[in-house]
Amino acid sequence: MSTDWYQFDVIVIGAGHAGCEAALASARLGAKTALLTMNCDTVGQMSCNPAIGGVAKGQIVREIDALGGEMGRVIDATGLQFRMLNRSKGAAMHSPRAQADKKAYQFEMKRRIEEQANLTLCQEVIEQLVSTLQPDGSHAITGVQVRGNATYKAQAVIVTTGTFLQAIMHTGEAKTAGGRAGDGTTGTLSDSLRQLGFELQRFKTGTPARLNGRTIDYAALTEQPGDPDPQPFSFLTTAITQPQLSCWLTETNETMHALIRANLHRAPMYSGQIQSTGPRYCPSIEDKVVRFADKSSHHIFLEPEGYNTKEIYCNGISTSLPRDVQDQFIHSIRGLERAEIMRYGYAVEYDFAPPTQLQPTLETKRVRGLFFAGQINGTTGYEEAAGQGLLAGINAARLVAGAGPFVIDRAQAYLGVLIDDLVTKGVDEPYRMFTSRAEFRLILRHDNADRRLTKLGQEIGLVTPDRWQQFVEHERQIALAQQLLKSTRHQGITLEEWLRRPETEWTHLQEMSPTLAELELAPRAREQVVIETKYMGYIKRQEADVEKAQRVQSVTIPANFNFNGITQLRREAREKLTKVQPTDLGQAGRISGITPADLAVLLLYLKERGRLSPSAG
Amino acid sequence: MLDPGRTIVAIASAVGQGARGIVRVSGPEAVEAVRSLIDLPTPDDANRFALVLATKAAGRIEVLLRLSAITSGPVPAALWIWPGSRSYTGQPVVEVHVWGNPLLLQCVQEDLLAGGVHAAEPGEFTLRAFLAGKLDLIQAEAVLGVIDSTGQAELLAALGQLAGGLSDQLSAERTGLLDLLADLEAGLDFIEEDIEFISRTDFIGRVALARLSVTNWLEQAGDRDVSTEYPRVVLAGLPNAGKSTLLNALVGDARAIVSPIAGTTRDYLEATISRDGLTITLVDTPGWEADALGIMQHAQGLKDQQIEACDLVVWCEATDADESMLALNELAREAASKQARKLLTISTKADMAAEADPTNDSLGVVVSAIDGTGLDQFWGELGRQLSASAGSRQWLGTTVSRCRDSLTRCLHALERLETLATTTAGDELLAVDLRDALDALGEVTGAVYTDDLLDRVFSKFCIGK
Repeated sequence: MSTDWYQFDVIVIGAGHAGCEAALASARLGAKTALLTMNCDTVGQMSCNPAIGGVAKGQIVREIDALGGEMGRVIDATGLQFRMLNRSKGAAMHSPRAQADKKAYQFEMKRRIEEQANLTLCQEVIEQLVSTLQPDGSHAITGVQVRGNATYKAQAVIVTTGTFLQAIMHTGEAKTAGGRAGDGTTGTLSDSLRQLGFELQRFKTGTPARLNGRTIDYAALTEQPGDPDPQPFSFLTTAITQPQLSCWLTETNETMHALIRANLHRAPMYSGQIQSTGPRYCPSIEDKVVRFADKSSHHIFLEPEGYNTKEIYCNGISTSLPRDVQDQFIHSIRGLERAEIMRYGYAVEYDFAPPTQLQPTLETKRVRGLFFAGQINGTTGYEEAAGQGLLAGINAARLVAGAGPFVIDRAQAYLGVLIDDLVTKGVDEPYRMFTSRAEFRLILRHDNADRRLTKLGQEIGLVTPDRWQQFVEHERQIALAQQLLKSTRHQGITLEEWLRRPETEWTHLQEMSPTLAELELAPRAREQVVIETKYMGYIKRQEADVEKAQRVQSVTIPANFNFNGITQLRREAREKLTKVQPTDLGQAGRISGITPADLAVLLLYLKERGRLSPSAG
Repeated sequence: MLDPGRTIVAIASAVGQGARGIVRVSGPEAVEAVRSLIDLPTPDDANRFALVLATKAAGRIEVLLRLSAITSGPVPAALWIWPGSRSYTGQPVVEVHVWGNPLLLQCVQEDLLAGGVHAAEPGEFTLRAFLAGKLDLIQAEAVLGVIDSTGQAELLAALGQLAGGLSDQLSAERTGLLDLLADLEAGLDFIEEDIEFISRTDFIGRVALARLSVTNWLEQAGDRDVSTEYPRVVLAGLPNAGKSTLLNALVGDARAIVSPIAGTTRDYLEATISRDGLTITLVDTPGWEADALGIMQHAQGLKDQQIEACDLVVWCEATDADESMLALNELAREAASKQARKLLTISTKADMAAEADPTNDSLGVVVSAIDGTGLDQFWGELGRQLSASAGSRQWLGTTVSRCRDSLTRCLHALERLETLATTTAGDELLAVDLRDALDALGEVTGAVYTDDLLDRVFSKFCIGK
């Protein structure tokens, strides 16, 4: 029996990107929080590529920041190269991305966690979850038992174990237990989850080789510098001041592709050694060679891992081929002829829990007070993980405090799209965010993340006074400028109408109106006014679509609704609805395999039960 | 009638004496209900039943039925059994095949009703098939159209919609546009891959093709008045060509069932007439001004009139017309035929032209509203002309009135898209219009949920009646 025990409100298992955000949010909302990690030296570690952001992911980081999360501020402090992707496209597609100094990032995150009041960081190995059976037959979490005869008690537990559940790493024929090179695996937790009745499945992901930069021939490579005007992620960061490093571009070639094809039988994914599903969108180089057979070359981005190391990450060629093949193909690449591999690429297979077992708060349906966030839910990517962590942390703290659930709508944020997709559709491959997953892409821009979410963050209590003040001032300036554009005319036409014309720029407006020229307007506020005006037609159309969607969503479905009671529904539809337990008609419609006809029956049942009874026929 | 838990029965073969007839039963109790009619079931019967029920595919069993009204002895029958969800309605179905005598079929049905099976209401099998996802909306409407059709033209249109692959064509177009959207979205989301998923030129080409398809469907569907699902036939011609007399003759015909004449506030009269299995809405238009200038002006104003919108224009020529009238008539008829989808010329006032020979081919259809000469011939020709166009049209009136807005919205989105794509507008903006087009197309087949889908669908299945 346990001899030692500790009392907390919320326990977070795992200190990766999901765990860190979850723990910080929970502690900041007043819950006494414990963050338990297998290793205090790997808090906030980037297991794969040393970068934050990118298309759709950059938007998520901005949203996390707007709600009062941490990821944006940490990357701003520790990034070594900042770029705004898709600059040539419209504002909705602009996506911030930064290369991180990997070590600096994790140390910065760890320091912030250590400094956070109400938050206890501890190195522990979790043996099992502890729960009690409720009078109504359901389970409620009461804490976790850790190695060394100790128990942590809490009303809420957030599991953020990433790729560490029953993890196996593959490099060619070689298999090692562990969720990341150099680390172990969380073995008994999977059993504990299964005992509680959770379904677990397997996914795989991969990582490429890391090279020693001293042995790379940079003269043969194409330099890819950062932006001359690096843009921060956090709305609180005024400027990026650290010097920026370059990345380097090279590519695969026919010789390398031939080598890979000749050795496919030794790749675990092809030899049958790995059966699990990998991401279609971040494919290994083996996959690329097989699936895009007509392409003779693929980009490789060589990315520095930090200011104080020569280690280089080879983005674009993740692999699980054996060491000898990796050595050969690396040496066939332009600029890498004499490159030394410091760490070999590998694939990792791990357990995840299909996320349809979750409520939109990320609390499990099965066990009260138990939350899952991050890669355990079948997602991939630091940003997706951090976003889930933040929302799970908020909801766990609110559960303890007796406050209601906090759920973001699909029309409000990519975070809303992320959670809704997970709990409604589930995942059949590692889930990565794309802008195309959002119905309202033109509204969900990185530049307006604060305008979409900071008020919500303020309401739940995560927004600091300085952030709130800045937000209020930002809104004030925008409103003032918009008012001026509407009320000022030039040649009989309002300035707003002038601005809607593609060729009109802000400086033209300033020439038209001296008042506008004198208006004190921060560059970000001015940018907002320009984007909102230029996009106005499309924004209005999307807003109309949002309204349409909300009408369908306004038909709510009671909790614990018995879908099996609607015999008029197809059996398949009844099963799917029962599994997901949608909260409204809109969510029901997003379940894959649910047809409009099913919705029509459901709606008829919800609204006009009488018409469905046989006597009415 | 929405309760698929009820087991329902209906005679499925056409009325009349055929070689064999079919009684169809659908619902959870279908197999048991039919099994109870078997005369002295043998262990062998039980085995054969078990064998069929053990597989998911349809199976056939020969049996003898004992029917309460047939005292002379058992009746041989073949049972087709779909034990699972692979049937037309997505639930257990049994078809009882017997000799095609209407009385015999009725006996089978009555014994099933007596055993607790419910009589199917119109469209109930189709509704179950739709709810089970076996039919899309367009197909469901077509099936109902076949069942409900009161005339050959309608039946042909319904069959055309069902068998002509209209829903396949729509689905294929939608899939094509979805692929196009996927290419567009891939270009937005996978910028690290240096792959051009689709060039602007190819994109515009594919949008233009889709636009042509949708335009084509809209043309096929016609812009028939939404208030009716019957073919519209317009009577046109010079003043005093006998149009109104013809309309009145048909309305007054004892064999015709006529709806109240509507439209007195407009500049034309219309009546819905059923006669010999053909139902049409007949529209009388005012005569054309009888001089060349008037004719040209009238032709200009045609768009406001019924001629462009109808299925068939019947051009009336008086047999007693003089030379100058004939010349004007030619001019006017030519103008009308350019506007009309289809034009049939008939000679009226056969009673006035004593020398006219009703069998003279050069005169085509010759009628006299006064003595009824040629009315049958006229009506028959109307049926032939309408069937011919219905066969190529493939769209039912019910489907048209439900889908026209969606199809038009789809067309407009594609037109906007085509124009936008020639500018420097970003792909994320193109995606907005493309998604609009896809949504609109999805509404047509019922693949996309809309607020009023419920009303649209269930109004067709007589629910609440």
